[in-house]
Amino acid sequence: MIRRVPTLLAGLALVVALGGCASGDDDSGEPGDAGTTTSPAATAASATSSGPATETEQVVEVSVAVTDGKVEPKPRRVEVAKDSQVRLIVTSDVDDAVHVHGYEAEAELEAGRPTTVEFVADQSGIFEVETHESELELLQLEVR
Amino acid sequence: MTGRVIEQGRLLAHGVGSREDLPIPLSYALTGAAIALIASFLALALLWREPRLDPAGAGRPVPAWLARVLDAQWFRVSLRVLGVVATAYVVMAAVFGRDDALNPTAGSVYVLLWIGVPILSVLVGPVWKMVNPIRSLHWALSRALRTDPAEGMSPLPPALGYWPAAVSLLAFVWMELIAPDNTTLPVLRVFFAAYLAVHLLAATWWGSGWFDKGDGFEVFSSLAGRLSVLGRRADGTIVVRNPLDGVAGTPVAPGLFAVVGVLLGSTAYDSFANTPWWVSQLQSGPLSAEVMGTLGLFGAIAIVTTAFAGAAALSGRGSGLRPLDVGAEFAHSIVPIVMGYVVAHYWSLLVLIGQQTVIQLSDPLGNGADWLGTGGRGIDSTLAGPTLVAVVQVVAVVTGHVLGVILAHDRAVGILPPHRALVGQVPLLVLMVCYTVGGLTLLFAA
Repeated sequence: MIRRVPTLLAGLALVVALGGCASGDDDSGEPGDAGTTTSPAATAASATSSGPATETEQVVEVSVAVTDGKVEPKPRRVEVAKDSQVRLIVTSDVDDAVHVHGYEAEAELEAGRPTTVEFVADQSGIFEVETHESELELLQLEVR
Repeated sequence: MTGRVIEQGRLLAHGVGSREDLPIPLSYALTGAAIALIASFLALALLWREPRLDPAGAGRPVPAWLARVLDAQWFRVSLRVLGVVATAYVVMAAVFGRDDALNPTAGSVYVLLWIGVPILSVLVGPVWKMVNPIRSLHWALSRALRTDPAEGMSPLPPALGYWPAAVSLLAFVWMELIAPDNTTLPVLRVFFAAYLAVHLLAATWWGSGWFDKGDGFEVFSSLAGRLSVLGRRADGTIVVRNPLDGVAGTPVAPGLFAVVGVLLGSTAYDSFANTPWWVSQLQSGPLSAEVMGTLGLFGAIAIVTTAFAGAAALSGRGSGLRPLDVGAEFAHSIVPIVMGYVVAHYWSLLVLIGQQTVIQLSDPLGNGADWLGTGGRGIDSTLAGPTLVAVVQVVAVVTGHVLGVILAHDRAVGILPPHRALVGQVPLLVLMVCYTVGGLTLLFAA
């Protein structure tokens, strides 16, 4: 029995790999499943000026504001298709700097003025967007 | 790990790991869970009534030339020297280098040492024991003082067991996951200076045997190394063997389940801590981020460890052993699950940031040098593509589970009376299914 373990494991690995491939691979995207991974905070996104992500052709606009140390809407995961243009609009009530991990895109923030950071999301994964001075995580970009 | 920031002109220290993995597809998670469940039932159904694993005698001797090399004095000394030199190199970067995003110290600690060494150990055996610089330092000090390194002032109390390692690892994971500015040089320097001092003193007091079960990094590497196909039989021969025989031979001592709990709990917390919901709690909750994070980390470890202790106690009824001793008897079966979690959660980090760290190591002082010749390279991301990562993650977690179930079964038939062998395993199997489904859920939803 124990001698057959390696074979058993190889078989299991094959089953998993086949099962995964059969349900579609990363390039074509995962229908439906991806939606369930978005955090509850996203669906409860406030109806204030910083709304959820909107898509215009290949440009994804994401807005977020920092007021009095609080992030509006609350930190959430925003899905973005790979290779699309991302336009991040950040408004902070204090001077700061915003930084997108992984893409190393950043910009200085002036108190009260919306600042735009644009880049092409060509790496897949989940990337933090955070501020430097106040050390707050604003949101996460899920690039598929 | 969350990278906190230091500004130096335009260079900002982002910490280690600028990205997290995408969640695995639901189909992968369900397939994995199904396989784990089926394997668990099979293990119960195909009950073998005598322990089949033979840690002391199993394995085929390696070719004579290989055994000669591995046991040769020159080989062992070379490894020790390598360990000291590599450590000195990183210490140089930590002490004399610039404290910015390009300093390789954080990557060396959190990726190469913390993830790379255990995964290497799974492949070739207990690596850190052979290169541990603290061991080497203790040996050198003993020689200078004309004492035997193996002898301290006092015999090592058996009751200590693996507890010192559990505490060491707890301190490290707290720094890794919670401490603010944990990728900056001052924090890293203080931690390792303290770590060195404590373990050097302990080894001086109790002898070099302290490191075997007391040094957290060595214990992590040694536990992982039991999964290697390379091992040493009881008679000293180096053999190629079934990893199950290796893990079954893990020395049993108090505190083993605590070590396993810290490793499993911290990996689980790291995964969970990345969810936007938790980030929100940390940032806008009533308590400070450090306090909340500490509670979360300790909570995760406590849950994982208590669940194990409870399951082991239930499983061990009828064995004649005290509950804590039963825990020590079964803790080794969680080791493959721990390594499955570690591989799943940190694979892409190792592949991507491991490469980045090797590139950064070429310029340890931050003056534009290229000492290792790796300076100009870019990071190759072929081993970190989303599909490959998802497959690696599920295969790792499920394989860990299957191995764990077999190990628990074998130990159970060894220490339980025949009429309890079947029923006695159920609590442990349920526990493992929970760990594995928990791990898959974290991969899917965190």
